[in-house]
Amino acid sequence: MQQYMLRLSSTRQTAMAKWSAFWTAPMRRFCSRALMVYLLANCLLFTQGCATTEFYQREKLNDRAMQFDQDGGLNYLRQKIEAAREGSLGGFGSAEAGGCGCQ
Amino acid sequence: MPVKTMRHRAAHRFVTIFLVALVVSYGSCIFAQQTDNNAQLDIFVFNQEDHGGNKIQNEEMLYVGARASAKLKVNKVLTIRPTISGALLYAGGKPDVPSTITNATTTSASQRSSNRAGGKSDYTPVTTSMGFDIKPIGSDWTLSPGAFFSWQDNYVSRGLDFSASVELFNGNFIPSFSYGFRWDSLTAGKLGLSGIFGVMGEEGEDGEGGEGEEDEGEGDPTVERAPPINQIDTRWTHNFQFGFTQILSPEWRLNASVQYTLQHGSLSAPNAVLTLYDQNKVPVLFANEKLPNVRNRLQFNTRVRFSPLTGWGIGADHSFYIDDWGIMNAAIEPQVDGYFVPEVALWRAWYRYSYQWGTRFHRGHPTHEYRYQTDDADLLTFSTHSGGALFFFRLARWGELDWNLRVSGYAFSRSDHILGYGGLVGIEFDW
Repeated sequence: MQQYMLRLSSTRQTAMAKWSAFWTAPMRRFCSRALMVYLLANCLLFTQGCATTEFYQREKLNDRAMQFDQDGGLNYLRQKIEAAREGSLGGFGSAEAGGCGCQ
Repeated sequence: MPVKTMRHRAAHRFVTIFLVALVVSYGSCIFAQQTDNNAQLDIFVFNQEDHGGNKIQNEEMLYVGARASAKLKVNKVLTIRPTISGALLYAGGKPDVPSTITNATTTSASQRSSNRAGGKSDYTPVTTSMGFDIKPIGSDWTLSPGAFFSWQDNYVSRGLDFSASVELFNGNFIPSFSYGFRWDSLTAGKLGLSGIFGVMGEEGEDGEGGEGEEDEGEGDPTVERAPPINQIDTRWTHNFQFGFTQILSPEWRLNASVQYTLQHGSLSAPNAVLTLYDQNKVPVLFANEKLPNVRNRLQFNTRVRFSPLTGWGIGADHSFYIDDWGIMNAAIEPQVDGYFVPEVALWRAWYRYSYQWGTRFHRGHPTHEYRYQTDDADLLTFSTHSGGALFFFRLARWGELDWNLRVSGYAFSRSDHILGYGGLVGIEFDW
């Protein structure tokens, strides 16, 4: 048992050490810059969209392959699993309020 | 109660829920007009294995259920969207409780842990919602109020939702706003049916592990006594989401949103414990998880899809999450869509990678209690690989009615050795 606890303890220590080594000030700067670039790229994509696509040009867009979510049942299951198993809100833009994720 | 009897009772509940789901969803079809309608019935199973994470809390789980949903156009203005799902959830299992824990059978917190050591607990979660889409004639606005209710033996959630969207520039740009409210009641015992109103019923008072309340927490005076096992904790959630969908060209579609969630109330899990260690890092005591009563959560989502050929598509979803407990999470999910036979046999495959930076309330090997402390494996640092595939088959067309079949598989693996896999089979009618 003691050996097991020592192993567990050293695993956690290693994880904490890795985290401290990873999350340094330069890394924090890099992440915040990456986030800014990402948001800027989204804004550029947004401005690209000013050209209007007429209804008769939307054959590909209306295809099932172009829908963001193809399957309501699978989305429900994934949202439930991902929101419970991660600290995040899960999924990509569900309007449902975050549940407790208990169980 | 014998395990066999409990299983029979759970199976009986599941069949009842399933039949109610069928009647509610398909019964409402009679109100529908013959256009733009859809009804779905799904059966799913998901199994989760725990080979790591928090050794004290076993996160094994078997989740089997059914979900019925429909989208029914009542008239030119109103569309209704009822859903109901019921499931059997076998959760928990035998955790590794070190023999050096001196209060393993004396404190309320550890009582809960040792109750879980007795094997799996079964729950019967039932979730139902009703949404309305109201689109006034001649207007580009869609208003969508809705209501939500979910019941599980130890957890009840009620809620209201509202969203609004408007089609601008010939539908090329659709901004939207959503608000959702949830009022949750949780307990470490069993709520019973009266839990719907946030009141503990008789079943809860006699719930498992109630004897633990006699305990005086004699293991260590510094370890706070756990709240009574029949206490109901309450939490409130407000969820705001702003976003837009933009058609960039005849081949490109973009969706972006920002989601802010405020939770307050009791945010610790009622049955969660963590381990305290001595100077030699030997586990000696159990203590209760303690987390702040407020949590501010922010998530950015971006989804892009591109179609090089009709019937084919590629896409990528991204999310970035941050909250005031120190958790950050970034995820990316590329997808590919194609067909075996155009419009008859289609497929989608996806892969998702996420990395989570854990909460600052995880204390490693604490030798004393902190104001806030947790060992919840889901709030720590880990990465997740997941993926799956979805197959869609148009089985038959009877006049205006399409009969479709959907089959999908889904699996994930976490770097802390928690993994899960499952599948779903669904039938779908469009008319």
